[in-house]
Amino acid sequence: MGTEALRRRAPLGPLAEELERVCAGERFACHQDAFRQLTELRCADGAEQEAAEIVGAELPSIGLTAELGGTLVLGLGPGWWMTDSPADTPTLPGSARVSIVDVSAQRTPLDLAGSAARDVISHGCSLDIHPDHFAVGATTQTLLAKAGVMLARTDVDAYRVWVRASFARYLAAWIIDASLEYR
Amino acid sequence: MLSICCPWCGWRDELEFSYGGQAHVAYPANPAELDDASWSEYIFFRDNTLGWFRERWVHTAGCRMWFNAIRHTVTNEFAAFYRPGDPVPEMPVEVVR
Repeated sequence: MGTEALRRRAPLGPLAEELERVCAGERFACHQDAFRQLTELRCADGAEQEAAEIVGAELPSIGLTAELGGTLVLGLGPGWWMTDSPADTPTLPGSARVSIVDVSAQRTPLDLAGSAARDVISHGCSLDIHPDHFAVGATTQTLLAKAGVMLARTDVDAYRVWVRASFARYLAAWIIDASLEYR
Repeated sequence: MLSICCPWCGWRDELEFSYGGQAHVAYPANPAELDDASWSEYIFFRDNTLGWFRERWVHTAGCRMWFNAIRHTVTNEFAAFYRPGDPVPEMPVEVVR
């Protein structure tokens, strides 16, 4: 474990510290929540119940999230979910009709919080994320500053964005730039 | 920018989608019996409709699902969005303006 901890690097690299330092205001704050355990759960048509039994809880429908004991589950599409758990959570075994794959290295989560978080996101996202249309617990996949992301509203003034590792530094630089007027 | 309604995710900008060409082009029933001309007909030849057109789209930046739409190739209006396997909606009546 010791050497592992020395070797692993989060996608943002040194930019993570700058993001956290620059975006730390009361109206807008942003930081990377690195090294989370992400898994993708896919099931065949009609195997939704089987998937729910493997997870041990009802899975959220498309566009909604569910909190299962520290794990956030996102309903992304028909028969398609992503889970976001603390590091070193064991990956559940799949079955013939349900696939569960560790995709931790694919994306990195960014937490955006504050009363101006919605404005910052809206600078680069055409989706209407007003609470009337995107309530707490809602999730979707969309484009943020042209980068493909998963976006979830975790609280009234808190959003979580999962961005692909190769786009992470670009998006962090964009967030630093876009939040200039809210700091 | 077109506004397109994904049957699973709802209204999104065109940027999130990719175009898939004409819809309902059936795979040949007996591929082994096709001659070269029929194969090229199936692979390369599509309708070039002026008016309402059934076409495919994929929600690339969202749920990544394929679906069908009826779009007017002149005005870019959409008349219907439907999932694969759903009953195929009627073509709208062409309104001459």
